Amino acid sequence: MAAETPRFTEARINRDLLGPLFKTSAIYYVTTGFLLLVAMVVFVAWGLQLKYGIGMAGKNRPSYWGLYITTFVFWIGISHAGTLISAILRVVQAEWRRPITRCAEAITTFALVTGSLFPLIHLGRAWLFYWMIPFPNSRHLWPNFQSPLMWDFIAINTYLTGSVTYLYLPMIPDMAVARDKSTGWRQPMYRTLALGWRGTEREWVRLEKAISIMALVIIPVAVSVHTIVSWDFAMTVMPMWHSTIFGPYFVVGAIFSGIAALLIAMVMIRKYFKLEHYLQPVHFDNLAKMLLTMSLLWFYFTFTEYLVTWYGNEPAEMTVFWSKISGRYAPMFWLMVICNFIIPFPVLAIKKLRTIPLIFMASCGILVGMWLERFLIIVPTLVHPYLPYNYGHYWPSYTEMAIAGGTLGFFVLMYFLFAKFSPMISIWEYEEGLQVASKHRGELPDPTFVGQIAPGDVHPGH
Amino acid sequence: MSQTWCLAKFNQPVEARAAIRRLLQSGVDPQSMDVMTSQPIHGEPFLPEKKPTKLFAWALSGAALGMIGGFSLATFSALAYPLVKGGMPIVAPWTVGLITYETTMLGAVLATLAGLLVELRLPSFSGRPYDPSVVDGGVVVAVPYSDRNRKAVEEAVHAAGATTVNWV
Repeated sequence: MAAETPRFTEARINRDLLGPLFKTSAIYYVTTGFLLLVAMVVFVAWGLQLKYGIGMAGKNRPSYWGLYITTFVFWIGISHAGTLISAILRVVQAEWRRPITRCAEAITTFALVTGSLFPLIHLGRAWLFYWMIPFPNSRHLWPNFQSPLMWDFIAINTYLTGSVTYLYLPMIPDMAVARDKSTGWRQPMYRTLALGWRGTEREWVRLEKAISIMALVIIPVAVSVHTIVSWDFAMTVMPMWHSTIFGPYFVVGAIFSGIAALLIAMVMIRKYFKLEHYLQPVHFDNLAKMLLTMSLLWFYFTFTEYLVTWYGNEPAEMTVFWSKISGRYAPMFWLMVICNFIIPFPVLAIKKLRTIPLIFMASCGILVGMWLERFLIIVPTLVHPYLPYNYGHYWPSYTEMAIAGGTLGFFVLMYFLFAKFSPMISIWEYEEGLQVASKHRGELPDPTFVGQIAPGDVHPGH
Repeated sequence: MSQTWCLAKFNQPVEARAAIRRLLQSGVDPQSMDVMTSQPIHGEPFLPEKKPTKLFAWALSGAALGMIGGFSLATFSALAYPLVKGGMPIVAPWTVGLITYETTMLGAVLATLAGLLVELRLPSFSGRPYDPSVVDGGVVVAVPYSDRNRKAVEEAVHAAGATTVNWV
């Protein structure tokens, strides 16, 4: 049953949404401390790898890509949760988007930061990463833009720049609210971040215009990023990496895992920061329907991908195919199908089962399934190249496992710290939603009423 | 000499509109006033737009610059150190297209941000009239005043139903 909607006023919304910024519970410190420890595992393991060499990773001939690239693709996929979904919902003017856009956009930013670590870790000699920056070095050599590594570098940087901008622009008015409500050391920080925002008519018009432009620009960028990640694979001469739907298959998987990550984040934020009145069941229900659509699409794409391989019956591809369906990787493959389709489909399709706890569990399963999908795209192909005498075996080392697993803690830590520094629901967009909802119900004397919200006001999304 | 301001707060936009009408009748320049709210107000604007926004032009210009920059970078860096690859073109069209596409988008993003900051003259940390109570709702009308017209401004905002009036 939906929580009873209280009467919202700007003052109340400010108090509720800024509360987590100014009050810190003991459990927050404990959780943050734990996450810090987990995140440190990444950097300790990476430090050891830098000291003793890339041999500490389990990569070996013929599998030079393993857990690092799997996890890189996974995090870049998660990054599609935010900016892309938020931009699509803004462009189609879905009113129910308002309480979820900030949560989503923050996921993109931090997932991209986390994912971007992996190419550096994978490079081995990470201190030479600046060779990718386009400037001529002492031998007048430029980066080779024909290398897919450079495509990733340019695409991810573009997406990260766009995502940070797209996250920051709607935050400016909220930073101004925080500036006016905070004291002590926080005030100069929020004052700087608010840039002197006053909320004038001129400022609002331009901010909304800038956000609209950004939303239009960021959608094709998001699609291009994961398509380019798929081309990293397609550029090689390896079996099962050349289907015509490889780009869209990656994008569908990315959006699928992204929505699942967003739902998990929303459940945690709702519970942890006591935002039940703001993140209501309707928001989960709508996102769950999107997740169901993506689950069906993912299944369709996966089925098509494997069907075409099977029909083609090309020996090298069939070796990889059977290793997944009934060979060494079959347990992972079928677990992936269970996590990504067999469990989520009924949970998300049957209205009675589409409850917040079950959506949360289905989303967790989807993340596991999507990580497995990335692993299954990469490793079975690499250990079964075209020439059979090159067949090999891959098992990740403890260093790889520590780094790949630890980045989950690193990501959650950054997200947690961000939630202490910015309201996780956009204050002004939420208030605007109440105004729009009231206007649609014709409750207000002035159609552009802005002040105290009328009694019995409706919740955005209802 | 610094400008002095009257900051009148109203509960409802309809009151703020009434105050603005009265102020205009008393001879206040509409370009000199500001209206502040905690959220964007849809519908008829309070005041005529001083200058229409050119953010779209900013974005297009940035995209064009990004496109030229990306195309030049990918093309001339390939020509600067030609790598012969068995008859394949030195300047690969797909690679150049891909880099050009990304830098075009990057240019649009950066130019939109720059355009917003330039048009709003942000960051700005002092000198502009502001009433922090606006974040808790209502509409604040900022009117410049002098000793000559203070009484007229005061009458206009009170007659329209201002809940608080600050002179700064």
